[in-house]
Amino acid sequence: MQNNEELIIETSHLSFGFSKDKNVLNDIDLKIPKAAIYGFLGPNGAGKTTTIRILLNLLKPGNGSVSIFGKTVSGNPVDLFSRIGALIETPSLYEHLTGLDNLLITAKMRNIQKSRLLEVLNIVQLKSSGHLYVKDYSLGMKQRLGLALALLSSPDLLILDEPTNGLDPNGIIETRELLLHLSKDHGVTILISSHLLSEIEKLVSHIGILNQGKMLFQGTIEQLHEISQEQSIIEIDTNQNSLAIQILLDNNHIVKHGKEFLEVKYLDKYQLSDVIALLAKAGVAIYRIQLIESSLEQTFLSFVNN
Amino acid sequence: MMKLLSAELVKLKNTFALWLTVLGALFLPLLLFTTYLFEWKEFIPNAQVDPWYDYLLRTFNGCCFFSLGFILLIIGLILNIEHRANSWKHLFTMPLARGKLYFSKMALVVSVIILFFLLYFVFAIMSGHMLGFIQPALEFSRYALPNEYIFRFVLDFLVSIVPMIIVQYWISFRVKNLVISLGIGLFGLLMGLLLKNWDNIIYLPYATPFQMLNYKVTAVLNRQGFYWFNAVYSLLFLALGYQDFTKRFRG
Repeated sequence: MQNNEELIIETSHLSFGFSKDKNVLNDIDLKIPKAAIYGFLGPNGAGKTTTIRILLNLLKPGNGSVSIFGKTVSGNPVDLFSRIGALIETPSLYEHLTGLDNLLITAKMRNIQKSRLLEVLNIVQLKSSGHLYVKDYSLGMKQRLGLALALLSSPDLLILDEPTNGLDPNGIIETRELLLHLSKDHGVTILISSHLLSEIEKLVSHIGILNQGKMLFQGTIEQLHEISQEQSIIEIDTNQNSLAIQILLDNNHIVKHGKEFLEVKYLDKYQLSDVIALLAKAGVAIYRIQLIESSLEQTFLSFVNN
Repeated sequence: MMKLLSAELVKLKNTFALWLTVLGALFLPLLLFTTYLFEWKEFIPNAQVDPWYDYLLRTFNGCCFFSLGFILLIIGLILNIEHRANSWKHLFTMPLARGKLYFSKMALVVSVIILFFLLYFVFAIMSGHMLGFIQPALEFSRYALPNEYIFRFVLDFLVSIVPMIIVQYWISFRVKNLVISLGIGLFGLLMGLLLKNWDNIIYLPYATPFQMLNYKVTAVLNRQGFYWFNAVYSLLFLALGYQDFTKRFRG
């Protein structure tokens, strides 16, 4: 991550444990630049929600510090919260009230005009259901109402903890488009947590991978693509694998015997024709040559599983 | 602060707490009304005796016995709205000082309790007037309502329950399970009632209201320390609850 970027969220050596013996977060250094859509990834129990709770001052860190909009989060940071919209785990909804009443309560507490209520209901496509009791909402509708509550104050920073939980594929796509729109057109910085990379890889500009309370990767989505590409290989099978491996090594390819085939480290698209030409020139018959690309999901899983 | 209170009022819509305030206030006056109406011969006052004092004493004693349980339930139900919605985390990430949240909800609780007592006494007094109209032998119509007697009781009783309200409010935001928070409060009331005559029982906040049983104006007013003691107790619990809510409570 570049140092000259303005950081909206920055944590330094953040640690936390529910008991003295075991930390659930260890030395977390989050760096989220302005207008980024930061995907906070990790399997269930990795520490994502705990981190988010610390960012929002709902938990006090054992060690380290949190800074949002350049100000240290401690005590009762009222000014900071006026610029933040948050959805943590399941949305906090009063089920005995209508969707509109739920929004009205937050609007009164945040001193927001009533006209904004219908705007946000429209944004999350619940305009026709605003008068219904929340207890009659589906899981997806509740999630969208939670998102509407987070958007009510037109925040500069959105912190969303698994916001697509319970949404159908259409709902996920709509949420993705909405968040992209907020980021691109309004410069809103978004922190979105998920345990599925596939769900957010088309959305995010930055990624942080957390597992067992440790930050395993943090960078741009392009950097993750590069790592992913580095794990791609070309599988080759020939009539003379020993000769083929020698030829390829002599020509500076990184090659080894795999379980079934020869495995050449993939560098770029021109490499395939080069490999074929070399082997053909030496009279080696190629039975098989295949590019095996590592997907982002596999890269993510390799981080988590290692 | 008014906007916060108005937001709190919206949360009460469609809740049992609101119905309980009205129905709980109606319960004892209705019971007294029907007893006086059907057993009226038992309640005919002696000559030159004001029936209101006897009737109001029953109302006051009923208030000491029954209203406390309703108050505990009302406090529990109001705080339970937040527990059920899992909304403390939402409230704590709003641009609001925690102290404001503490006092706005406390203001709602106190307002609902005052409404409960207001309705209770309005129903009780209306019931007395109606009894006087339906059964003139009860002589309610012959004597004026002893306003000062009522005012003194209401004042003393409200002072006596303030520490209990503050402690129960603290327990109710700390304990998510309504049955447990209510159980703690009822246990306090039971102790207060069982140990009513113990010299040191006034140190238990839940016991003070029972000192108002068989209320006599002079007896209470002679205890000058009563007001000071309750004021100090109230401020102490208010400060401790506030400290806990603003510094330690994480929802």
